[in-house]
Amino acid sequence: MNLLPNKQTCRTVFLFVLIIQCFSAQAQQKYWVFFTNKANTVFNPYTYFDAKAIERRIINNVSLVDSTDFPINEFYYNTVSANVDSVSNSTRWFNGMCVYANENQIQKIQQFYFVRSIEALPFQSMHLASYNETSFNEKLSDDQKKLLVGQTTRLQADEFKKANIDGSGIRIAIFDAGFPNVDTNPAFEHIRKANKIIKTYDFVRKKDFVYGYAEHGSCVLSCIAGKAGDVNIGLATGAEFLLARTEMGKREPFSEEENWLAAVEWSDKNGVQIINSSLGYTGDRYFTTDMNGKKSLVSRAANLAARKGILVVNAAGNEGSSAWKTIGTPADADSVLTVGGIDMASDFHTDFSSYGPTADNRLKPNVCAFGHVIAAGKNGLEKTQGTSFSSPLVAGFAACALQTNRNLKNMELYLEIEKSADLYPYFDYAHGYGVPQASYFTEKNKTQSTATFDFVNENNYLTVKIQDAFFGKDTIDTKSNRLYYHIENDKGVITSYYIISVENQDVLKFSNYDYKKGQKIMVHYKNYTNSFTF
Amino acid sequence: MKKLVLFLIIAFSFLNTMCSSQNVLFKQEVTLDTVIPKKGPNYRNFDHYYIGYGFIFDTQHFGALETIIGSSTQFVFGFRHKTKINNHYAIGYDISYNTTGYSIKQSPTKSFPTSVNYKSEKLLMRNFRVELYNRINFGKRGNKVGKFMDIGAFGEYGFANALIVKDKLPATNAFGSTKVKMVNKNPNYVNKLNYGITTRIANNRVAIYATYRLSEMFLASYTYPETANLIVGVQVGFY
Repeated sequence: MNLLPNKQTCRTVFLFVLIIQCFSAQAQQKYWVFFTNKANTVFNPYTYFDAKAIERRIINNVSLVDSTDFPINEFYYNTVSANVDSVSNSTRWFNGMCVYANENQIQKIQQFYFVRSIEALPFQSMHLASYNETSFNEKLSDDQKKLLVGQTTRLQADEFKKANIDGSGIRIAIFDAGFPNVDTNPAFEHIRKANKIIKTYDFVRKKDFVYGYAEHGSCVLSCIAGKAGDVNIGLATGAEFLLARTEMGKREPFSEEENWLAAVEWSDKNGVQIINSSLGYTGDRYFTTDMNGKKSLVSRAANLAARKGILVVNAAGNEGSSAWKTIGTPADADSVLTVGGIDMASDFHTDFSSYGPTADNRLKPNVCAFGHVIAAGKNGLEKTQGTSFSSPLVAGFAACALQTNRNLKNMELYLEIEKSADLYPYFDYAHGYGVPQASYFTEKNKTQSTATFDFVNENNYLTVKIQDAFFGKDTIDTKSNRLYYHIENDKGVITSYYIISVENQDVLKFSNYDYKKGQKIMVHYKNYTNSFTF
Repeated sequence: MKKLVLFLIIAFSFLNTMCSSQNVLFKQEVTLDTVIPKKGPNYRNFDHYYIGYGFIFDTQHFGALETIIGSSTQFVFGFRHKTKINNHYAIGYDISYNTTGYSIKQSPTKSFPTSVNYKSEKLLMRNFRVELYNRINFGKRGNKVGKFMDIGAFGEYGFANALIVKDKLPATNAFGSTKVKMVNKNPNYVNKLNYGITTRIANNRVAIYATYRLSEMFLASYTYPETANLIVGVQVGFY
C-alpha cells in the first residue's frame, strides 16, 4: 500500500515546517557585543556630567574620571554598526553595544580583534511588581482615606513634615512603564509648577515623551511625591525627578535589560541621587538559584550605580504566594535597597510580597513599607497593591533622609535607613529590618531602648520571659504585644522566623538539647532586641 | 503502664516545643524555601499531564479510504515525562490514551467495509499509546519549559475499536424509530497494534502536534484501502 503523502499532506507538513522555522535560531536576534578596551577615547567629566552628578560623586568620593564612564571606541562602534542590521543601545559602563543581527553577522563580528564577548539576549518579560488595580476615581471611602494617611504615617511622615523635610534638592529617577497624565493630573501640580521634572526619556521608543502608556509609573511617582488635596501620598513632595520609560507596561511583551542599563547610565550622567525601580526579572529567564546579585546584567548595573554614588531602591517583587516565592533581580543585588510589602491591617508581611534571602543567603528585603496603597493613577486616585508601591514610599523616605544630611554617601544612607527601621537590629526575610522611621533622622537625642524581656537558661531550657512592666493581661492580639523571633544556624543564616502575640509571661521555651552550639535565637519585643547563642 | 509511658512521651514532647500556648501570627521555614528542587519545568526531571485535540488529514492517493476532514478527530489525554540532558536537549517518554474517529466519506466508490452508503459511518479507535521522544529547546530560559520541538516515535494498542454506522430509515421500524445506530465492536480486520512518528512544536503549555502513522490500519489479509494517517492538533499541558 502506498503510504506516501499526497498534496494535502504536503501542504500541512509545509505549514508545520514553517511554524518550526519561526522557532529556529536562524532568525534575527538581539545580542550584546562587549569590547576588550576603550583605547583612544577621550572623556571630559565637566562636559559630560550634569553639575549635580559631579556634586554627588565628590560627596561619595567617586572619581570624576572613571574608565567605565569613557565612551565606546568610535571605530569599534562604527565597525560593528556596519556589520549588523541595527543598533539598539550601547553601554559605556559595560563597554558594549546591543545589536540586532543574524547568526552569520555575529560569527563575523566574533572575529574582530576588539570584541571580548557576545551574549544572545533572548526576549523576556520584565514584571512590574504590582497586582491588579481597582479604580476608585477621585473619591475615597473612609477606609481608603485611612489607608492614604496610613501609608506615610507608618513611616512617621509627620516627623519629616515638622522639620520641613520634603526631599527638596534631592534628585530621583523613576524607571517604569509610562507616566500617563503626570503632565495634567492635579496630584502632580506642585511638581509641575516648581519645574521639578528635570528630564524625561522613553528608552523603549527613543524619544522624550513619557506621559502616556501604562499608568504604573504615575502611581509609583505619586507614592514618592504625589498629593491628594492636602494629604501627601508620598513623602518627597519637594524632590526633583527624572522619568524614564524602560518597560512596555501591561502588555509586558518582551522588554529587555538593556533599557534598564541605558536608563541607569542616563541617570548617573544627569546627577540622580536615588533611583526607584519597581520591577524585576524572575522565572522567565532565571532560576531562584540565580538570584545571587551577580548573575543578571541589571543586578551588576545596579551595583555599579551604587559604586558611583546612587542609592538604588527596588521592589522585592510580588511572588510571595507563587511557586517562585523569592525576590527577583535586580532586587538581589547587594547594594540595592530592597523593599518588601506589609499589610496595613495586620502590620506584617502581606502574602504577595517576595521573600528573601538571596540565593547566597544575604538578607533581603532590607526594609518594608505598605504594600497596599492609595496612588494617583491615570484617572485619579486608586487603591492598588504591590511592592511596586512599597518601594517608592521608601524612595521618598530616602530622599527626605538624605535631605537631613546631604553629606551622607549613598551606602551610608542605605545603612542609616536600615538602622532607622522599627525592628532593627532584629531582621527576618519577610520584613528585613522593618519599616523605616523618620524620627531616627529628625530626633537629635536618640533614646536607648529598654529591656523588655530576659533570657533565662535553667535546667537545660532556655526561656524568654517578658518583664513584668511589659506584660499585659490582655490576651487579644494587638500590634504592640507582638514578639518577633528568629532562629539562626551557626553560619548566621536564619532557618525559621515567627511573629507571635504575647499571651504568657514565659513566652518562649527552647530545649538546649534541640539546638547545636553556635545556633542563635534573636528576639524582638516592644522596640527591644536581644539574642541568645547556644 | 503503657498509657503512662504514652502520657509522659506526649508531655515531654510538649515541653520540648517552644511554647504550647503561643499564638503564631506568622511563620516561615527558610530551610524549606532554599531546598533546590529536583523536579520542575526546566530542572533535571519534569512530569505533567496534558490534553489534546487534533484533526485527521486524508493523506492517501486515489483509491484510498476517504475520510471527512473536520469530523475525523482525535482526543488525547496523557502523561509526559522529560529528562533534561542540557539546556538545549532533553529526552522523554509519553503515555497517553486517545480516541481517534475516522469519519468515512459516503460515496458511490466507497468500498470499506462495504459499498453500502449510510448517513454516517465512523471507525472509532480507542488506543493506549507509548511514545519516546527527543526534545530540542530554543533559547535561554529560567525555570520554564520554553520553546521546543519534539521528535519521537510511538507504538499504540487499540483495545476497544468499533465501526459505528448511523442511518435514517425510510419508514418507522418495529421499535417506532426512524433512526438506527449499529455498532460493530472490535472488528477483526483492524490492526490493533500500530506505530508511527510524532513531532511537536510548543511554547510552554501549548503545543501544536502532528503524528504520522507508518503502520497499516487493516490486516494484510483484507484488501481495504488504507485510512488517513496524519493527525495535526493542539495539546495543552497542565502544570
